[in-house]
Amino acid sequence: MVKLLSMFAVALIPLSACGTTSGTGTSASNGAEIRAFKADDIVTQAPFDLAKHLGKDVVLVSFWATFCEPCKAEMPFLQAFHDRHAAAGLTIVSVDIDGPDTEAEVAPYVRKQGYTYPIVIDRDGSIAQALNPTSSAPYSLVIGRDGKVKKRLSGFQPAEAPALEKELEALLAEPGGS
Amino acid sequence: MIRASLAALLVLAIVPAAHAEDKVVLDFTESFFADWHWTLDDPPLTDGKAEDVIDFRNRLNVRLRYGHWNFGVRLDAALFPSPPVPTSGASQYQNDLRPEEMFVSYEDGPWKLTLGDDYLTVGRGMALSLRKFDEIGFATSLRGAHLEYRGSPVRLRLGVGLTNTVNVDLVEEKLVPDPNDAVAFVRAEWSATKQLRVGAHLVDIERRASDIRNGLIGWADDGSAFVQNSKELRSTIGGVSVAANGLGGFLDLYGEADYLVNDDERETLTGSEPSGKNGSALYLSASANAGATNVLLEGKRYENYVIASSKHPDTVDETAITQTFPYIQPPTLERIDQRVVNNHDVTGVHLRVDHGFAKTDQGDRHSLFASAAFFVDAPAEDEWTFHGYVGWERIGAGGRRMQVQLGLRQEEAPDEDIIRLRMVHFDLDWFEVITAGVDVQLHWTHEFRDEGIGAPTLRDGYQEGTFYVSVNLPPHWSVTGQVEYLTSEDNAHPTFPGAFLQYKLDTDSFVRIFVGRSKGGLKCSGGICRIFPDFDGVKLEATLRF
Repeated sequence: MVKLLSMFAVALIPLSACGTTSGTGTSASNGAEIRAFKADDIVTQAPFDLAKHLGKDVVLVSFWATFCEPCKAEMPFLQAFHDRHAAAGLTIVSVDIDGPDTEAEVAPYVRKQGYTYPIVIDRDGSIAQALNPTSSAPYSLVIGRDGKVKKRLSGFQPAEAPALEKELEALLAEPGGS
Repeated sequence: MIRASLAALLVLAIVPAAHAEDKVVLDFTESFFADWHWTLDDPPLTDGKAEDVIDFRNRLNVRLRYGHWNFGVRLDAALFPSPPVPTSGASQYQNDLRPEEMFVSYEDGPWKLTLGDDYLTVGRGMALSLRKFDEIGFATSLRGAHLEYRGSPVRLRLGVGLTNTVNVDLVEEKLVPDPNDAVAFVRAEWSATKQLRVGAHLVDIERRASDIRNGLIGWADDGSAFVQNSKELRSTIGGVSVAANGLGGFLDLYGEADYLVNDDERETLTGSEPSGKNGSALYLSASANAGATNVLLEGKRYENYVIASSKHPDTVDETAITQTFPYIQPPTLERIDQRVVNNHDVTGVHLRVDHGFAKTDQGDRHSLFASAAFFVDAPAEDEWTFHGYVGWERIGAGGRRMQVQLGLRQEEAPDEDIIRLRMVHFDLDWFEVITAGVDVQLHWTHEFRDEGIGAPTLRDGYQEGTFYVSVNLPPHWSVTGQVEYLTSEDNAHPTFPGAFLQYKLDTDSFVRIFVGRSKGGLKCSGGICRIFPDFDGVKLEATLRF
């Protein structure tokens, strides 16, 4: 019983932390900051630091994998969004959740499709652990210039892409964060 | 556990030291699963099966962010209102409630310290890879401390802890204990130039349940004594890696070599003696990009390269339960879903060529690809395997996509003049927007299989495959019909029909129900395989994010 109570105590600590400090901010997930991450670009191996874009750019973080067919259908849309809006301050980063066993095939796939926006690999699974605990793919987060999460998208349906682009355009038109 | 609670409380006490303007951010991801097994097949049960088994499982992920601090915990629960009873021994279908994925991390600039559960991969997963294998339901973390420095030109990682696996198994639905092997590792990387990065690592695994002896019986290699059994004590892995990117503007190279030292012990008629057999692993890859053509060449040589958890005293004598968990995920050089039963004593080479064509006037991008792999000592010693396939892919404007593949796999034992497996496979993926607001996804994998050609016990050829078609009606509904099939003679019911209905509550939360049958059998990912049970019944899944 003591062991069980201890486990519950540990599980409830985050909730108690929220209760003690909620007066300093929001407890909602939308309209809140996300954890930044650093990872290597799968093609160039150049380091990508999300923190450099949060609070400045409109950011779309998208989780994908080479074995995820809807993800592959989504990526041309992300490239198109990047082509049309990167200059206005849109940063798109795709996070690959393939395992190390098939990592070698990821970069050739990206090159073949001609994708030029940042695509990084989550070698440890630690990015998914923080932002996408169920490791869903495709799964996306849209973050405004203020660094707050505006939308989460589970799955991909082409019919909804035009509306998503309009939302991104609206966010790009907003002033930067504090 | 009490110590863990106190440690977490101590960390909590430190939190107010963060800046006053920092805000608390809470995320919840709630996943609920309810299964109604019309028939649950499991050998330890009376008559090898039970009927009308209902179970509930829940996973509540909580993430909290406050300044530089991040907290996380997942609360796992399992409930069997009427658990099935085995013929003998205790039922592994147990009610359970416990926290998993508990962690607190602090990040500042290039530094990151994580206490608690963390997933990690060293290099290409050849020396250590503790991460989620979602496709086959494994998830093992390192519960301890992990320090990471991600600077330039040096990166450094080191950690120590106990291996902690997910205890409420989502595949078998049984309760499995944590391996609790003690792992310590260090990995350093140095970017010598912008294009060249070298790394080195050392991993040590102490077998905490080293009292367990494996039931190996036979004569010692030199015939001097009768081997009664052996036990694992410690494994140590050391390795180096070299990565060179963008050489000449078109060539990427990666190489990694690891050496495994196993400190095992066995008892003989003359007393205990060391019995560990060392192993090694070498992996090389070259990827070249010449305009529209990409070439990938990979090679591997693994010898006695098994790094997994030791058995646990609570389950060592149980049957039909997962007893060991993988600690590495080395490159397979094969398709992710390929049944790679030997990725530990094998030599292989893989060549893949992709060629993309310019966009058409309609906005379609076509590409062709060809892949060929050859393995020595696979699936077993002195045997070989060939797998080749070719395919075409089209990615079109507006979300249209189609991919077709056709391939041949042959596994042969030349000394016995037997073809173990000849498989011709066909794969189709089609994603199409039918009308405004309606899209369709179709997937079909079909395998013609012949096994034991040339053997006295030749089996009839059989066919295996999966077909499903999904219709998505945004923003809420999605319907999927699927048929899996396996026509082998030892399978009484060759077809497995089923249907999914999904309702999205909003953009990131959904409820999904499955009714029907789904095919089990051996499933693999990344060279790690496990046997899935067949399913027939009703599954309900709900994922809510808030």
